[in-house]
Amino acid sequence: MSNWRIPGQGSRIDRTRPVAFTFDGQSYTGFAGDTLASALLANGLRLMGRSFKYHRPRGVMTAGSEEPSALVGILEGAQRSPNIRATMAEIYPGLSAESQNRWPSLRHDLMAVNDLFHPFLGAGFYYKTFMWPRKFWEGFYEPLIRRAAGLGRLSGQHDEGVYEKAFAFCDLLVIGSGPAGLMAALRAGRAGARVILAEEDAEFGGRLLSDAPAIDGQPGPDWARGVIAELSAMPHVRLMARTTITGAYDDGSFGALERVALHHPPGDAPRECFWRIRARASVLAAGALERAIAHPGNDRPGVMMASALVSYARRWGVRPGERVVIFGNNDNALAHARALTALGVQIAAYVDPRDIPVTEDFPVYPRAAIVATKGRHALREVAVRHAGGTSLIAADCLGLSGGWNPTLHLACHLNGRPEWRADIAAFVPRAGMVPGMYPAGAAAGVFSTAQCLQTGHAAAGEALGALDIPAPDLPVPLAEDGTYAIAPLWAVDAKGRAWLDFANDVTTKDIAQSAQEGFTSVEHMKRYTTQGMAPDQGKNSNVAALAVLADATGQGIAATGTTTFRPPFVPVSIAAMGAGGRGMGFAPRRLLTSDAASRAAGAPMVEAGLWYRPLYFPKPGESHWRQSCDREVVMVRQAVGVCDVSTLGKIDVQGPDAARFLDFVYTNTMSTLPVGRVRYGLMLREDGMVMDDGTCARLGEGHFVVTTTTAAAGQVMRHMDFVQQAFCAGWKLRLVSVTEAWAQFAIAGPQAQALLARLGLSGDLPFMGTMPVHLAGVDGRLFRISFSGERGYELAVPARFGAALWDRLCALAADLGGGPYGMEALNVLRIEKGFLTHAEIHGRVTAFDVGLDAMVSKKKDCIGLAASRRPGLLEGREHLVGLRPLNPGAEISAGAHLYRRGDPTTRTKNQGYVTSVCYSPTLQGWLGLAFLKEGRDRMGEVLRLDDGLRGITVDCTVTSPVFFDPAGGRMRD
Amino acid sequence: VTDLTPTPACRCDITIGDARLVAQAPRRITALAPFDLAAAEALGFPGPGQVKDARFLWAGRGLAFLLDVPTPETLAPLCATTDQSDGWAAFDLTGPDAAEILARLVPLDCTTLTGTARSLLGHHPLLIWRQGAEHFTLFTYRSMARSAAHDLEAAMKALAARRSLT
Repeated sequence: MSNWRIPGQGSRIDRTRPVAFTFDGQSYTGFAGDTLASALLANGLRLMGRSFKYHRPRGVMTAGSEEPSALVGILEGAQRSPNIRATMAEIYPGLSAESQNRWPSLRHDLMAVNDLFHPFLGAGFYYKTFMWPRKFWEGFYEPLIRRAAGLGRLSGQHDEGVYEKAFAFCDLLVIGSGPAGLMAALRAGRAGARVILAEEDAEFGGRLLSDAPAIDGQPGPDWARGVIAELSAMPHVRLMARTTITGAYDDGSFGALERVALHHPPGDAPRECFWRIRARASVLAAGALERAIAHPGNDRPGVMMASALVSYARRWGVRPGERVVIFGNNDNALAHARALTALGVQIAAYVDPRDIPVTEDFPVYPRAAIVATKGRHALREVAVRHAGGTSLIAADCLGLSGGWNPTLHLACHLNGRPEWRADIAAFVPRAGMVPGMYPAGAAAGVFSTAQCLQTGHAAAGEALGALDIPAPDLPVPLAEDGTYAIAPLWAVDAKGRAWLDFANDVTTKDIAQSAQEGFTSVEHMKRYTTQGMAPDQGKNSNVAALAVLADATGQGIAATGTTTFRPPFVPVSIAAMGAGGRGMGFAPRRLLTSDAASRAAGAPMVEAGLWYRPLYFPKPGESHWRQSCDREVVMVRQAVGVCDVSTLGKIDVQGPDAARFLDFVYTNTMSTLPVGRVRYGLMLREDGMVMDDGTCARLGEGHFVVTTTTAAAGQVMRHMDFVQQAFCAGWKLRLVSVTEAWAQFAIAGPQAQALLARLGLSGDLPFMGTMPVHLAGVDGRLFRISFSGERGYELAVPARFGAALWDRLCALAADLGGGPYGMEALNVLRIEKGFLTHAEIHGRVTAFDVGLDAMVSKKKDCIGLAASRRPGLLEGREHLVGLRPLNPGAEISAGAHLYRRGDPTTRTKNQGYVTSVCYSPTLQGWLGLAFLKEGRDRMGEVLRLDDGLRGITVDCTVTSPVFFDPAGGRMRD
Repeated sequence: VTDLTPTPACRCDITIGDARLVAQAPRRITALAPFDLAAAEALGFPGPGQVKDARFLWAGRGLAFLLDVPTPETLAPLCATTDQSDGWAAFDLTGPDAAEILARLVPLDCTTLTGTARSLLGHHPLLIWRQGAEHFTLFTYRSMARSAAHDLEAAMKALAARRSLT
């Protein structure tokens, strides 16, 4: 590898610390500080990937996050992170990387046959070719194309890595740490402002590190280190290296991706952190991206950006080639050729379309262009067309410099459009595209070090002024102030394929064809050719492509405009954005006070409204949930069952106007409820549909407790809060959620009162009554309500006593031949009684539909009343009915639809749908609840239940939805 | 029934890196909500984000938590009063890294926070109270206490692991 390292160069690497890694199974050695790209180059490797469509051999082209070609997979055990830019992957001991999109190997890729068929595979090929026969698309063409195209592949395993999300706040966010960014951060830091300086690279300094211009007489890198040392001593300044600002959003919000531990072997530290930064102002000092020149054969491994050659030579000490040709159209390119010469790199030729003087230490070809290249897996030769003809020059590296595109992406994220500046042949940000953002340096289209320092200084001054923070009078250091002359050259006029978008294999011909076929808008051209749609999002090709389009249409570049810049600026892993959300982290877990006991009893849990509730409590010998469920149902009907119902929403309503308010939110009247009594209530949404049902207990003259269903607790609280604030302002009442404060248990069954007696409670309470109770020194509440149809109580105690009370209740129930029951049995018990859940009140039904119209008081107004009387809501409706299969043992399913027997099962013949079903051990058969057209008038009719999804067809009789104890004697008496 | 043993919402006392997370012992929390919001200030209620006497905490719109002591008799008839001692679980997060840990979970600027604020701890509802430069008290729903502690612990571990990178 020493052959490819330049002695004495390589500010970024530590030659005392060799690092072993593998690429495609082959072992290599680099140094600490190397990126995968620099380490592979230092090992003489040029071929790093295959192109997207034609599978052409490709090498690394840049030294930054814009890299279009050197995309690799990083392997960590069973994990594979695809499409990682080799320029951004820092090597660590044991790193294992692999090439992508090739088979069977990178050097011998059979899919490269595509390249032979390129005349047929140009832009629009898919749209024209795979049209016929139509039915071939889904089964044949699409899988074929997906296999042939594409880049890296996922492992198919869960990503078990640690990721982080975080928030940060500052007065000034400085994006980029080149001369402009450092100057801005320094001025703001000295002003005492809270500053965040974000740098995408592992090291602060931007182009000062690679170009190393002198600042105030000292080398650029030294000056940068000095500034960083000063900033890092300021407690109000946060330095964020390896952090890319990915998006600019409303109100000073920015997204940022930090590569926290990707440069270390896998461990406990987060791989990446996704930051949400709130900045009062920002300085965009993101620099500029060098662009290529489209000439035939400009995509071979060894063709790179001229600035990248200097970066690799100076920062990583890598000799980019034995014989390097530079092809540039601007002063900067010439400066790069000189810099490389000074670094000991042999410049075989400098080629420039401009008429420049031939006064260099290397061969110069003015008024010339590169018209062809040779070399399959690596560049061997370039053809230079000049005044004297065409010369072939042996070269293993070609540096392109078509000029610079200011990195203005973030400035465009709020949909502002940049301005074309012909003098530098580039788009620059306009003022105010992102409120509070001040562009500086190369991002603003100034390219000398002196101007970068000055604009960074000025941008910080403007930002601080806007923030009312006095800006200190900081002298701007002296630096080179060279000119940047450029003669635009987008594409060389020569025969052969000239690449624009290296990542997506888009050539100048594709753009021309797009224009020819009428796709002349830049947005249409992008979709037609896929230019700019690869992982680099066109960073390397957008401006050149639209310039070629402008040439083809004759519109001019300014009129052609750019495509829309959208976040993120670099690819962001979903794992980083979703940090903490894997598995159980997806949502908070609400645990009942009985949770540990239920799990210890072997109960499987189901999630409802974020709560974890036991489904059933299996006993020895029970191997199927139905056995447990059936047993628990019979237990409640014949003895006693206990069930944790703490999940029901509980809203405390207090105040002199509480009763008046409840009359307004409930359809029925609550103000007439005596103290110590409970009433079932129904709430409507403003559109007249049923929102929720529950009970309302009056604990005192101005004190009520409202219960809601588990799932709707939040919605009901929000609704009542809204009604109070919006319609009842000034009424004296307050709503406070007490759901979490109480552990509440249902005790149901013929032995319920006996169980209470053993607790020392009388249970002598009328149906729908409530009273305070005193239990072992604890103040609780007892309600006589029933969701099972049996004599039922609910006993509530402060939550800290929940676990102890649950244990006691289970033990006492067992003594009486009962025990705990879970959600499955609870559901069967309520279906047998025709009680509702949100399976029935699903948001599209009225009180009339569910048979509760009588609960809508005619004597008063309530939320939703007027809307519930709209035409269409009282006639021709689907009513809640019960269903029983003709053969009671025939299984039926929720979600099935109902048809008349003999009718086809088509949409227009649909009579209704099934919402809930169960097997009833009480009634020895299947039961269903359903909504049926005019169902209440169709009792006894036999219908066909058809579940096309599960293949179930069963004839059922329409019945009342109350299957068991319709008179209600069991729960009342 | 002779006695019912109380169970805490969450048991937690962990020190990771430069921070310590401790679940508070249960304490009396009374939620006071004045019927007349306009008169709240005159009644001595804390304004938004304020804390009075280190035990009367602003806890949301027209809502204050009174810690440890009974409701003053003068206030009782003018407020909705609910006992929230069992409704909310509290954690103390202390140490030099406390604010940096909260930056992983709370979308507020905890470095400049004073008094209290209602916010989120990850997905969990949060009442945050800054008691000192390196001392935050975090209230969340009792049922979510263990879930919240898990998220806090994960944030503490990740930060400590990040700090140990060289």
